[in-house]
Amino acid sequence: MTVELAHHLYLLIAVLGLALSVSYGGQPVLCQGAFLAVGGFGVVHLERAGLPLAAAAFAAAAIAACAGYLVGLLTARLRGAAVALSTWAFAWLVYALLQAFPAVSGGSQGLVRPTPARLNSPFFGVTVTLTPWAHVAVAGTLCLLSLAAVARLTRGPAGLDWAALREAPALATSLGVPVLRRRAALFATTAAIAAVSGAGITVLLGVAAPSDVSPLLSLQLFVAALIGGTARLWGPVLGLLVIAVIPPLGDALAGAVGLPAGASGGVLTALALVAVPFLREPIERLAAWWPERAERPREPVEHSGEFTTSTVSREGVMLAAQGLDVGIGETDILTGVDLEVRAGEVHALIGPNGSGKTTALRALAGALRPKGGRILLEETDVTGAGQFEMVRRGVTRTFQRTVGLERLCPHRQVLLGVRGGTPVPFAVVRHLFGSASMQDHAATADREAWRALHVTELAQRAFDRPGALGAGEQRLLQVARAVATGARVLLLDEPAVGMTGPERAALARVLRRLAAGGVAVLLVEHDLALVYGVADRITVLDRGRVLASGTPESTAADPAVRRIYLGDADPSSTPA
Amino acid sequence: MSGVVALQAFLSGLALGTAYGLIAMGFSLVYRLTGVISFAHGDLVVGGVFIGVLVVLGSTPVAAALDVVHSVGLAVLIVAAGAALSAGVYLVAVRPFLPGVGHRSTRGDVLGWVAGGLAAGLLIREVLGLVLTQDAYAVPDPLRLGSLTPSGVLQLPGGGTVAVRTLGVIGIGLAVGILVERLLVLTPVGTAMKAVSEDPTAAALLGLPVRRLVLVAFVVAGALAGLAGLLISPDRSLGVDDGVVLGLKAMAAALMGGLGSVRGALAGGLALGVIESFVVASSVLGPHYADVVPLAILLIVLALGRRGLRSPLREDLE
Amino acid sequence: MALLDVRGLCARHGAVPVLDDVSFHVERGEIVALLGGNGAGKTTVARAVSGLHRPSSGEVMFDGRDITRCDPRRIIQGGLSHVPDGRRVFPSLTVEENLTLGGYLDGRRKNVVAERREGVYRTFPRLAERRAQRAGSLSGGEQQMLVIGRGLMSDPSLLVLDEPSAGLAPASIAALAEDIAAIRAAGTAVLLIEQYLQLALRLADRLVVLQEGHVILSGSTAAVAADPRIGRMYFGDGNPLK
Repeated sequence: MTVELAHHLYLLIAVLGLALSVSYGGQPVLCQGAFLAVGGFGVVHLERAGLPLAAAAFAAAAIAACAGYLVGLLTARLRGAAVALSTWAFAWLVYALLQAFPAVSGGSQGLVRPTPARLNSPFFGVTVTLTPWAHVAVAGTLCLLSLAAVARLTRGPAGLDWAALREAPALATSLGVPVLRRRAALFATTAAIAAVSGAGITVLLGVAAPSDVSPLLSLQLFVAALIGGTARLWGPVLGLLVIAVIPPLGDALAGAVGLPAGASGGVLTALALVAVPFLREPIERLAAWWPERAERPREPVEHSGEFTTSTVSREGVMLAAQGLDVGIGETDILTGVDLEVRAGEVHALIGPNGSGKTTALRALAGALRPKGGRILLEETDVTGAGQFEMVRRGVTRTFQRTVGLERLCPHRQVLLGVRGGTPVPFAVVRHLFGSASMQDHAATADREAWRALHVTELAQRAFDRPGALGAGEQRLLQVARAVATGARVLLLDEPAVGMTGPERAALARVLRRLAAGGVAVLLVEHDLALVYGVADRITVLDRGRVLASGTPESTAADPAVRRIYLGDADPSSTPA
Repeated sequence: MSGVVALQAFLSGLALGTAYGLIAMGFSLVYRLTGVISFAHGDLVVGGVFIGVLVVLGSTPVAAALDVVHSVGLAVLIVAAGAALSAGVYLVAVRPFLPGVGHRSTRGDVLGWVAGGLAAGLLIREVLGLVLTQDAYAVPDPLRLGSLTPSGVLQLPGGGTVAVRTLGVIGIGLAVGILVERLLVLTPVGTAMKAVSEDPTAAALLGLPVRRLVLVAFVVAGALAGLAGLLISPDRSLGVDDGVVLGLKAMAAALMGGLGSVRGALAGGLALGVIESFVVASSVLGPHYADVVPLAILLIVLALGRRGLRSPLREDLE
Repeated sequence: MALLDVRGLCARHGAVPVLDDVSFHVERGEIVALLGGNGAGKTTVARAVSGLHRPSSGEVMFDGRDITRCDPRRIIQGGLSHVPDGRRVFPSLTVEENLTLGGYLDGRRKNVVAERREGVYRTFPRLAERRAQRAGSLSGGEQQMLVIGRGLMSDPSLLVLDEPSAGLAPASIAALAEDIAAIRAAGTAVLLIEQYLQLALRLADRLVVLQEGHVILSGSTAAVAADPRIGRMYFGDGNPLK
């Protein structure tokens, strides 16, 4: 009984580790059993090679972390279904390896090590015998520690990263968060925790056998993580219930219909797996009632309200495109586009649907590599620099659609932008261990965040639920996040979509305020009323070429522009 | 590796690859129409074979000689069982999670159909496992391809021999594979399926029965999987759990052939079969690597596959 | 009785309201243009009319029947054909195959389909020249002809065209205008959804203007075009055009 309890607690550690990737990182990982195997078989082999038990367990976890990082990098670019496929294949690959090489796995009997294990410390001169109760204590402590660590991490920078990875990877990339590396790191952590769990189980039972770490285990752990994962605190308890209840329930059911014990565990896992997608929504709805508790930092008192960027040349050209050719696949979207965005100016880019406005914006942000021409940032050639590089250099863009980070209050969302724009090395680890320098960083970041909220007139709503914000405020929040990266050039893609009249007026004020602070704003917009009210300069695109460029007055008087907007027929004449 | 051994490995690789190709064709077809990666697809192969055997023999498989009636019955039943299982998997585990016709999101509830497919496969394995308790079974050959010549083997130039059955498998498998591929290109139903795969919303707006066409695709895919099981299971002992790895290998084949291309899937299957056969025959690697290498190929093809905007498996982060 | 009668249509995307109490009608054989900027809800109107989007309230009457919650197939059979935006041809199929699929619901009556196809070829001779070519290799203007032709293959009494002029060269737009006029001349009513005035002013008998999901203006083309609000919609209050 004690042994079973310890076993379940060790599995719960693996579930908690898996929940990092599945629930927090949003990746359907189906190979947790494989990392358990790395821990279980690794610890036995390393011990046989002469390492003491504790060192062997650490080393096995380190190996698993490396393997996890590699698999994480392999899957980081994939969509959800492909991640599931990839990790599922990896689970079977490890299983196939174990079966094909008895020298590693000990064949179907597995590798045996003496129980109970003894921890010897010649230094302290003590020997601890790991009885089942000692295992319960160790596993229980590890569970509590990991729960506490996760709870602490969620409130810090890691919580921001996870929300971004899970809900809006493209948005995170646009704000300068290295999504691929973060995913791989999360995967490595998951794998290392699994290895610890695997090592614990092997030491507890005295055997590591391939059949104990089959892909079925991976599926069971996945189910447990899904059921328990979306809910923050009581989730793991549910997960443990899944692990602990399925086998005995399966045996009982099998006994009731006269089948051999253990035969129906898989059937129950399958049923639980089917139930998960149906259960997820109610569980998430419950979880939403339990909003993520972030620390509510007070707004710093000494707020100036003034907004200026550290721009060197206030009137100079910040970002310029020269003869830009851009294509997507075979299709040419832009040909020979020239564009200059100046510091302290709002430059509007307008044109009919399909004229290439968004493509131009993406190319300038570094998200698309141009086929020809140059992009200059303050006279430095940045053609072909990726999106990261551009964010670091101070060029940030927003998206046409509102991308949700539904669990994060505006203040935290804006912090994500601060963190992307000016990253702090090893912030997550340093926050976890309460490094003192992190407090300074946090204070600076907080000031930046408030500055961005004030400039976008969202300071009143800083701690509201994003769902409670109006459509227009959500769009302003996008601008706020981009401002928070410390951008000197803002590339805004249709920020006014879905805004009401007063909201548009607010947006116009915000844009003027940003320009007055020295930011160069490029505004792609359909709402010509807004454009003509706010822009210093207008460029009109038509079918991938610049049709006209200049002051609002000169472009509005341009006959070519009038033709594409109002048609060549005189409105007063009778229609043909 | 001598010339004769290489030729033998090549031929048995082609036979194996034909089966992979047939499974992969179904996988690609389903993927093309729905964007669904069918996680239960490999289990349809094993499920089809064992259901057929259980029904016809009325017992767990024995390598019995079958009379003509039972042979035909078994062959038909295996293919039909594959098709029926596939339709069942679609209706129960996939369709509830697909977006409605003309819905803006094209992929539906991804976690739903991934979990549904995995669960369906697991359920097939576990339910069959209740009856079939051994690790593996020898399955009778209803097509009796081995008895085409008295000795069951053919002499190869250079001294070796090859089982007639191997050639039979290649012949039947390729013929059916190419026939199905042609039918998909030339018949109105094939054209309609292509339209659905390219733009389901536009297809629905023309009155095409999108859901029914998807069901047809799943049935065809299941029948192809059943046929693949029928062709290769007598050559080897078959276990209930073998389906997953078969399915994963077929996915590797489909990906190698450019996911979504039915013709490419068949070619990818042949290539993968030959690779696996040479791995097994090689003195450096050997039979231990029979599953390891294809699974590693799957991981690599997935990770390094097609980049770019429209790639269905990769996320566009920019 | 109007051919299409939309009454009090409301629709939402998830929790976001997109259409609020939209009403308008289309008479037999007339061209009505539905105008509005990005995000005004034009496409949602089209999707609701053709059965792709379930409205949250309101009703859509077509040819005297309530089609509000009908399946797209039934609506097409009733004679309403929706040509979606974005020139959605089936790129790997030939022009002829694309057209044939347009007559899918009458697929058993092969000669009826062939006859209609010839009719489409007469309206769009360019398509006849390219009947064996893959649709993906056509130019933008030709693809637009193809999707309109495909929409005509079900022999509709109302054709809903969603942004047919988007991304077309001026010459193609001029040709498109003639084609649409020819379709109306043959007796088919057209609901033309457009962002810009150009095509609408040239063709429509009446205009309906949507803004943020509301109908803000409707009436005869001349009356709406003369309304100062239309200029404001495009160039704002400080209209530098005046």
